[in-house]
Amino acid sequence: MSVAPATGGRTRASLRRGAGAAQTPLVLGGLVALVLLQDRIVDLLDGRAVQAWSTMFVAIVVQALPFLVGGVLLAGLISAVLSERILARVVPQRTATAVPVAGLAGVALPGCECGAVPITSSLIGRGVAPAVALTFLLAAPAVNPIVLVSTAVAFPGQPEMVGARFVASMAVAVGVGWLWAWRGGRVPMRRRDRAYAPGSTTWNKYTDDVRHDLLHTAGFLVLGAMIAATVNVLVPRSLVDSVAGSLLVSVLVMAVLAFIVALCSEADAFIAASLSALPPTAQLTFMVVGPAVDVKLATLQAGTFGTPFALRFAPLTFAVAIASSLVVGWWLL
Amino acid sequence: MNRTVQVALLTLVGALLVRIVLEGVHVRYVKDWFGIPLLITGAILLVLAVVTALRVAGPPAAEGADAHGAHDAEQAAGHEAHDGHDHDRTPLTTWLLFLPVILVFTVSPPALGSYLAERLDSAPLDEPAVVLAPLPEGDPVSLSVGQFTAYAVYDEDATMRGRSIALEGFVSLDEEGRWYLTRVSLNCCAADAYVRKVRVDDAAAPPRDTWVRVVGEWVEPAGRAPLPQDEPPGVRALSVVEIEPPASPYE
Repeated sequence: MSVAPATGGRTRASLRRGAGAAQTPLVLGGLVALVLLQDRIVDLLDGRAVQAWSTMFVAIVVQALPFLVGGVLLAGLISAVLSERILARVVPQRTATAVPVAGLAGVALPGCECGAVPITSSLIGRGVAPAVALTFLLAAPAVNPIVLVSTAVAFPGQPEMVGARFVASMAVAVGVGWLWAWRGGRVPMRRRDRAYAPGSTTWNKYTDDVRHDLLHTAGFLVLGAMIAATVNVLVPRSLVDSVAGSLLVSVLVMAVLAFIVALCSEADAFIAASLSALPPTAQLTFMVVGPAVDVKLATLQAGTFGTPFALRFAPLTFAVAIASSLVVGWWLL
Repeated sequence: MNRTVQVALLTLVGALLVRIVLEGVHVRYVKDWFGIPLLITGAILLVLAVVTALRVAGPPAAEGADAHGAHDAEQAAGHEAHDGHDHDRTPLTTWLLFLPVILVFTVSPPALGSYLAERLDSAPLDEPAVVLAPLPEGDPVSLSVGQFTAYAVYDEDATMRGRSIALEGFVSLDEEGRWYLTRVSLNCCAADAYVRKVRVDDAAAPPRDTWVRVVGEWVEPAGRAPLPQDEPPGVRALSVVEIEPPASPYE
């Protein structure tokens, strides 16, 4: 990782320190205002739309937190237990070979997309090539057994939908991994680089890591949940049915919808199935794009790997996921 | 965000998760069984808060000013590219975590109701895998809205004909002045909810979101095939009684 130019670095550092110093009193002031104005705010929140928004917002946060905490605990374990030596033995040397192996590892490890982000970050911290770790990030939430079973339940009598989902999502994970191995090297990516206080025990390091990762990512999850709840409340689902006529338009609309409503991969099959007016390829697109890239994942990734990374990785994944769904849908559905 | 605020935040979020499960209100947001993962997660967060708090209060040797001074000096020297270096620095977004806490502890967002239901059509119903058993005994016979819809759409023998049926749900309206006994169901959490409605005829509409028990007879559609999928089935009300909202709001 390159060192920032001295002057620019200093300005940014001092700017950030300034913001950091103002943070606590500012927000505490806000909290005091909230408590003092509680009645006013409760009145304001009485609107039916605002109520529905807050229910969905709290629901998304509450639903995702156990997965995020589980992912962070597991990521901390990977950092603490898996040494570079063990990983080097398990992961093939050549990145091109390691990418599909990482894809298959995703099948074995049922994870939610929120949990996969910290795990990926800690794999990279352990010296796994970013392309390989990112393949795991895309595969784990998309093709694990829980997701495939829920897809089979949501589309009874259509086993080809389960097959298509598996093939399309795996193609996205491996395809993006290879693209990243080929071209992704120059993209700036924030690394975990830890300095521990002298004399820290393993337990202290572990809890430090867990707390740090959790507080870093959970805020982005909340941000994603705010956006997703807003869309859920504002965009009527009948709008979705009105585009069902055209294959290409419906595929694009479903891709965008998957990005902004940000469902968990365990649930998206039921939503896709409920939009039964749509062509099967559009339903497939919804299920392939969602676990690979959505607004809460993109914000989580920006928080974990840095905004420049997310600005490149999210559009790339989005495009590859649409292409993969179109090809697989045309082939299998 | 300094350590003390971090401890406060972890405590509040942990307490939030534990509290909604203990009060039983988590069923407004997620599936009932998800209470167990929520309790475990809440407990983990509380433990993490305690561990952090003990170390904040602990001997300065472990977390002393020396270490922080070293960080500052390093950053001033231009090494700030290593983000996530200092465990006390968090992005501004972390403060957003206070929002769900504030919402739940002040307004306690209610279960989804008529606002959602009036924006969504009744969800289509998959054809049951098995032939429907004849309608159970009872007068009136209590059915869920989902069961009622299944019998209305898929029961070849129309065994609901002439039977008195009891349904429970909340009131939602449409633009044409009809009202519906409505239930919301979840796939996973409240963000992916879907609704099922039963149109209620021959009774004045109670206020929106009132929970009611309707006893009445199924309104058999004139032509049975093709089966009307997107049209909610109807019930001719014999009685409409206001009831307490159920503890578990979703069907």
